Parts: sequence; C-alpha cells; structure tokens
Amino acid sequence: MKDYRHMMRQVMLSDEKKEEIMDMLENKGTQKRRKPSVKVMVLAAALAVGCALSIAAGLPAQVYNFVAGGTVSVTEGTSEVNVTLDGTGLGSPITLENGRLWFDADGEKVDITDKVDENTPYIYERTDPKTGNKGYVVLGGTIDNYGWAEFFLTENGDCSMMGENAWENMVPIDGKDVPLSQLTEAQLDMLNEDGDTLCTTVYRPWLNSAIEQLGLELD
Amino acid sequence: MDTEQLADLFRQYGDDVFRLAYSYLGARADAEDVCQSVFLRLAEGKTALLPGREKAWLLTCAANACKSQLRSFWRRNVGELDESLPFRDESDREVWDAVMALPPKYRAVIHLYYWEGYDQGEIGDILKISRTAVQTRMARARAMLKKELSDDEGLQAYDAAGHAER
Repeated sequence: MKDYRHMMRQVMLSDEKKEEIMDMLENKGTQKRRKPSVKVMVLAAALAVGCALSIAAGLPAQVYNFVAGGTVSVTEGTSEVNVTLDGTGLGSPITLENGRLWFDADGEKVDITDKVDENTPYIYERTDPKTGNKGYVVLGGTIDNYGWAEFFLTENGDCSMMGENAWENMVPIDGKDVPLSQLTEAQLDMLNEDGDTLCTTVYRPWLNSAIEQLGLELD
Repeated sequence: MDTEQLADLFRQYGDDVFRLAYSYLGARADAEDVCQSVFLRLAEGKTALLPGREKAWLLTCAANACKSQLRSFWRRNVGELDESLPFRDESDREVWDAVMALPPKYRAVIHLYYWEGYDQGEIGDILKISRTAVQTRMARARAMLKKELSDDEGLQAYDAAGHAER
C-alpha cells in the first residue's frame, strides 16, 4: 500500500513546538526564534572561494569534476548531493589578458571578448574528462565586470551550479536589498546575531539568458 | 490581526504548514523553524491576508521559506537524515523514503497535489511557477516514484478519484 495521505496524517508538529509557537503568537512575535546562526556567515565565506550551489536529487551515483576545481557527486538512492571545493582545478576558467577575455576549457583557450557582454553569455558544453559526464560552462560580462558559472545536469534535469561573479546574494537592510558582498563586518555580525534574515539570489543578466537558453529550472 | 485570530489560524493550519515544510526539507527541526517563521511573519503584521486565501498565503510563505533554506550554501551541501520519522508502518516509511529521494521541488508539487488536493494551476500560484512547470515536475516525480516504489497503487488511486479531498 503506497498511500501518501495515510503517511502524511502522521506528520504533525510536536506538542512542545505548538506550545512554543502559541506562546510566541500570544506575545505578538516578540519572542526570539531558534535559528541556526551560521547561514549568513557561511554564505560570506562561500563567496570568498567562489560560490558552489547544489540542488538535491535522488539519482544513481554521478560524479562531475568542475573545470574550476571541485567535485559534485550524487549519492545513489538518496537526495544527498555533496560538493567539494578542493582547489585542484583552474580556479577560474576566464582570465583577462591584454584587454581580452580568454576562456580556458580544459587546456583549450578561446578569445571570447567579442562574444559576450552584460546580457550575452558564451555557453560551452563540456565533458568532464575524468567521468565523461556532461556539464555547461557559461561566461559573460565585460572586461570590467566578468564572471562565469558551471552547471552539472543530472539525468533528471536537476543541476548543481558553481561560479564566480555570476550572481549576487541580496540581503534586506532597512527595507532595501543590499549585496551580501558589500556588507561590513559589523552588518554581517548583526545579521548573524539576528539569525533570521533570508538572502535572495539575483543572477547576472547574461546568466539569466543562459539559463533560459539551456532550459534550466533553478528555484 | 488580533491574538485570537492568529491563534485560530495556527490551530487550523499549523500542521499543514509544517507538513509542507517537512516534505520540502525532509528534516523536522528545519520544518519547525519554517513553520514558526511563517506565523511569526504573520504576527508581526507585515502582511495582510485576503479573506478565504489564508491557507494559500501560509503555504506560499512556507514554500518561499523552504526555498530560501535550500538556497543556503550550508544546507545545500549537507545531506540530512531525519532521525525522528513518525511513521508506524513499514509501507509509510517506504513511501517517505521514495518521496525524500525526489528533488525538493518535486516533493513540494507532490505534497500539494496529493495531500492538499490543489490542482496544477493552484499549485503554480502557491509555488510561483507556471502551470507547465508544475506539469513537468509532476510527471518527472511520478516517473521517479514509480521506479522507487514496488507499486504505485496509492498514488494511482488518488489520480482515479480526482486526487485528494480538500
């Protein structure tokens, strides 16, 4: 018997949690919530090394080695996705040399200066030389502000993404969204103390265009 | 909104918000946090609920909070096992395991369809995605569930009956 509703009827808030929330509501939200305080801090740290994001998927084991270094693996039969940033790759597949933007894909260098801008991505379909799995490297921007992202698509169309200067995590400060990377240490500390602030992710226009062209679904 | 109205909404929909978050995130503690944050937001009076749309708003708010959790670097890179599954029957665990093996965005669609009984348009409104995206996710989720489960009679039964009751 495979009955989703039968199963879900057993899922309920604990009495203890109900009581806690009722207390909070009676005090009109003046009570502090329990929340991990690491969220913003870890995101900030992630920015320092180039963000790696992944979306869970329950698929047969798959491994993909990012061109910039690091590995994503999907554990068989679970929704567990592991991403390792090991610093063994290129670090960045895009470089600025003599006013030109160069893309380095596993040793092959391509001048992409005239192929990209703020809205136009350069999309490269890549095969991981170690595992044979397919991914996409997307580059975009201008010589003054360029970035890249790399996608690994699982068999069911879900993806893990890694990149640098391809998106911005925005944090609401005094009613205005501010890039996480522009926050002062004091502001980061304050956010960590609060623990409840949620970041939103805004992709660069060239990345948005690539996501659309590739037909990716990113929440 | 006064305290009594808030308490009524919580009594009426608290478990539903929790269930969506639990199915989305697969971890009780995270789901409890989401549930609490949804009702806290309501208590803070920063939003006005449209009469008759309270539940949809609460579920949308919960779905957004779940997405934010999943977006965080920390959570995305740490596989979670829930140590406190509430299920008594082996068959329920089997269904839970199969659903948890789906990507979170598929789980949300499955939950809203099979538990809440929303149609595809309503699910799209709640999750802020197109009807086509709902259809795609539903089809992929079903295909994956069919592979995972030894049979899918339960899911099929709801399909035949026009799915779950409201």
